[in-house]
Amino acid sequence: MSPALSASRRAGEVARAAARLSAGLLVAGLLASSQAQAQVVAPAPAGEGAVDLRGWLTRIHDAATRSNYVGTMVNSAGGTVISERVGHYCEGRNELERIDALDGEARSMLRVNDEVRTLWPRYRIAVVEPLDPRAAFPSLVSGNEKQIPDFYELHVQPSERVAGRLADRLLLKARDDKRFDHVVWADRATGLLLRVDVQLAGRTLESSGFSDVNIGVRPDAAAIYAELHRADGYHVVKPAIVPTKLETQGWAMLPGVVPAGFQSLGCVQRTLPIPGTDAGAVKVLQTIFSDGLTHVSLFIEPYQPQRHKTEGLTVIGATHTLTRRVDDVWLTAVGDVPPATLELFVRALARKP
Amino acid sequence: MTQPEIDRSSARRILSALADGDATEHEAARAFQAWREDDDARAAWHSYQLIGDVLRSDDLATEPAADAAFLLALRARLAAEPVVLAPQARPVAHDAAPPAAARARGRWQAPLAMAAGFLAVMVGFNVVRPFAQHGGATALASAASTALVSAASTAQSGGAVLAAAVQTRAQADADADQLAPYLAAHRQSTMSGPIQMPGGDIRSVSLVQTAP
Repeated sequence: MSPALSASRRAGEVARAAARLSAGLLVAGLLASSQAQAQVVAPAPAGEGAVDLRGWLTRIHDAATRSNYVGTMVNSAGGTVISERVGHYCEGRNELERIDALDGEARSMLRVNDEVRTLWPRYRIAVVEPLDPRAAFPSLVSGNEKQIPDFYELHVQPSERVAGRLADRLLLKARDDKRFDHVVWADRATGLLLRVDVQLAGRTLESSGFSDVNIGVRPDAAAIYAELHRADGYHVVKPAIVPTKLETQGWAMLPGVVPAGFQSLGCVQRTLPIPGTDAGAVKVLQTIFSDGLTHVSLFIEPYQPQRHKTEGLTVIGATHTLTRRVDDVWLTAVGDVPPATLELFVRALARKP
Repeated sequence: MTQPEIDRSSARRILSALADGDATEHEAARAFQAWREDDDARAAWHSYQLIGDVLRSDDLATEPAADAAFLLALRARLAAEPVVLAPQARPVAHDAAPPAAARARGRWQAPLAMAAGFLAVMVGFNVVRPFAQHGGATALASAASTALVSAASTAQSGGAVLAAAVQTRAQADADADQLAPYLAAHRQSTMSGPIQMPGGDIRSVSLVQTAP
């Protein structure tokens, strides 16, 4: 067996992945092309209103998916700071991304289009996941972004310097107390997001942003492919995510109780790795809701007294988690929303009549 | 050579091309059809994959029938328990021994779970317990601190309501371990938000939990 065969097979895998994706990318490209043209005509929308907000979001999205950039990203939440090295390249039709954690356990996330491999060198494990369960959550990209202006007010604030670049500063102010405010800094020249803060009444709960970034670098796809090849022989793990419906699982959400603006994006059955359990994992039902800007997950599983000990609220930066036992089930609601919003989700869940 | 043999040999050639990434779209369609309809084609496909796998690691060598058997078992399992999370009559006793089916499920899930046991970063872990009444005593009983264990036994025997905010570091860590997979799943599911920072969610994962 020659190494050449192996190399050829790997190249084949990449080619097959590209072929598999090209059809989907074509469609996405066609859809996006009209937006891209609009962007060329009006590079930086100004003023307020729903149309402008959509313009900003489109510009931000396009910059994130189409430009080549390398930088150091820093997250600060609850007094703890962690950072990672981010590289994003577009080469031909392929979108490639590499993220190396700079703190804690060594790990690299390598993304080729919609497939993400998280490599753990010390354990020689590769966890393979879709970029997001778009297949399982078809409506996640169907765009309930349209309703963002109904629940957030856009304020274009004076521009500022972030990571050495001039940035437009936008405040997305929540119109009610069911969600947090978001402050967004978008690169003036390209639209790339440079920093996002989640705020409550002017107080920053959590902040993520580049400390330095180079935009418009030469794509370095070869380094990402080389890293993928270096992980040959790693134990490959593919967590199972099975789409389902809340209703077919015997549940319903009471429409009057679900917080205003949050729509269900879908429901999946998945296995979560939980240390200390017999199987090392538990099967849960996950339903995702979104108001267009932020997401809430509601996890449902059978109550297990040996494991489900602590009901209550956990706060990590802007992320709140509410756990609650309701009869023979255990509920976990997670999201970057105020605790009262999670409480409503937990109360809205009812057995299907 | 009879006609089916010619077909078979050409199917093999196309499968091989597919395995090496050299098949055209038309050939790929034919290969998929062969794979669906022909046991031999499936065996051949397995061999091609196996060659590649063995090149990477001997550990990946498996019996030819294993793929199909695994798929069949998985499908049967999924079909048999689509409502595992559906509401059902409350069990008489939570502590009853798990049924055989549950134990069997545990066996096949275990290796996956051991390998996939990655956990989220718990940055700035900060626990608020405004209504931690259930299980407060058991939580404390599992804590390492002797003082707290004795406090817990007081609570268990006397039924006293302990201050809900009292938590040991060990228990906070245990809670963090329990919550981390939920946070990771939530963040992985919501990475495509309209103002998601580039680079995915920096907070997603930090640790692999490997079984001994």
